[in-house]
Amino acid sequence: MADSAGGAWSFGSSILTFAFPMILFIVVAVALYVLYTKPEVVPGHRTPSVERPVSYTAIPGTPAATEVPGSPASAAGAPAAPTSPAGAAGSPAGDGARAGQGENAEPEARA
Amino acid sequence: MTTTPTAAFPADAPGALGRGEAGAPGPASGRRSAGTVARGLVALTKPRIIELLLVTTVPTMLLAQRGLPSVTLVLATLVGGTLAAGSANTINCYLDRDIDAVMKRTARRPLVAGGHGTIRPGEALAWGIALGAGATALLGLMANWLAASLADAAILFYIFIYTLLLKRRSPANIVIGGAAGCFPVLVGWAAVKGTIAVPAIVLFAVIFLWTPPHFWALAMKFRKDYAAAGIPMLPVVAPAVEVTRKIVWYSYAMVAATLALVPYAGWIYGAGALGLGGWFLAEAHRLHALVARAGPSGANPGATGSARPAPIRLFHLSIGYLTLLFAVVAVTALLPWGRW
Repeated sequence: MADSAGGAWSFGSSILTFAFPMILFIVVAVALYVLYTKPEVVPGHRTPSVERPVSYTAIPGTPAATEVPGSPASAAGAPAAPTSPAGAAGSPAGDGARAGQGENAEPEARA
Repeated sequence: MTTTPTAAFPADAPGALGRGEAGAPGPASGRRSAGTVARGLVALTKPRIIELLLVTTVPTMLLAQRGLPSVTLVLATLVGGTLAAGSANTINCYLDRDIDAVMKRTARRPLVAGGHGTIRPGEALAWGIALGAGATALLGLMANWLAASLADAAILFYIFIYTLLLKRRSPANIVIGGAAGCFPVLVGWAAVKGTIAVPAIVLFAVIFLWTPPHFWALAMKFRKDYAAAGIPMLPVVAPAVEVTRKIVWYSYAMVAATLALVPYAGWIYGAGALGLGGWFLAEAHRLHALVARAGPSGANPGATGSARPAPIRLFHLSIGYLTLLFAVVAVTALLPWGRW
C-alpha cells in the first residue's frame, strides 16, 4: 500500500477526504443545533433557577406573579394569575387557592 | 490485511497472556501484581489523549458560564469526561489489538501479547464498558442527562464509526472519525447550560477541523507503520504533497472557525485566535513548501536540517496551538472586559 502512494490517488478520493467530511459536519452541526438548542425539547432539562428572576409577592390589585419576558411560563403563553383558568372561570378563590397549593411558587413544575 | 501475531494466536485463549510472538515468556507470565494490572488498565485509557480532551472541556464550561461554574460541576464533568474517553480508548485498544501489535508506535500497549501483554482482552473489554457506565451515571446524576447522552454518543461514535467502520477502510477515517474527539466541548457546554448553543458548535467545528492536520502530520511520520498495518491513512494512500495541501486547506478552515467565535468571545479572544492561527498557518505552509520541494515521494535525501520536511513539528505545534487557543477562551471567559 505504501508503494502505491500517489498512483491510486484521484479527484474522487480528494472529495472523500475534504468535501464529504465538511458536508457531513455541517449536517451534524445543524442537527445538533435544531435538536438541542431549545431547552424545552431536551429530555430531563433543568433550568438553573438563577436565570428566572420572578417576583412572587402578591400586591393587592396587581398580578400575583410578574415574570420576565422570555421565561418559560410567559414564553408558553401562560397568563399571569388574574387571567389564570381558575380566575377566568369566575372563581374568586381560584388565585388564592392555587397560590396556596404552591403553583405560582413553583413555576418549574409548569415548564 | 496483514497477518498479525494475535490473529494466528487467539489472545483470549487460556494461557495466551504473557507469551511473546514466538511463544517466549512475556512480562506478564505467571501471576500479575495488582500494580501491574492497574498500570495496564490505566495505560489502556490513553491518558495523554484524555489530557488534551479535558483541556478543551474546562474553557468551554467557563465560556458557557461566563465565569466559574460550581467546582462540583466542573469536577463531575472532568471525571465523567475522563471515564468516557477512557472507555472509548480502552475499547479501541481491545478492537485494534491485532494492528497495534504490528505498529512500532503501539506495539508496547498492554493488550499486545508480544508487547507488555499485561491485560487480557476480556478484562479490557469489561473495563471499557465499566468506564462507560460510570461516565454515564456520573454525568447524568451530577451534571445532566444531555451531557451524559453526548458522552455516550462520543463513545459509540468512536467505536462503531471510527474504529469498526472507517479506520481500516477509508482515508477519510480520521476526518470523520475525529468528530468523536470534538464531543467534550459539547459535553462541557451541556453540563453548564443543559442545552447546546452556537458557541459550542463553533468550538466543535474548531476541533473537527484541527484533527486532520494534527493526525495527518503524525501519520506522515509513521507512514510505514500504518502501511504495514494496512490502515489507509491519507499519507499512506496519497502523495505527500497532496497530504500537506489538505493540511493547509483544513488549517485555513480551522482558523476561520476559530474566528467565528469572536462575536461571542470578544476582541481579546479574537486577537489571540488570529495570532495563533497565523502561527499554525505559517507552519502548515512551511511543511507544504518543504514537501513540494522534496518531490512526489516527500523525501529529499539532499535536504538537511530545517530544509527537511518535519511533519512531527506540525504535530507538536498543533497540540500547543489547541492548548493555547482554549487557554485564551478560558481567560476571556473570566475577564470582566474584552467583550464587544
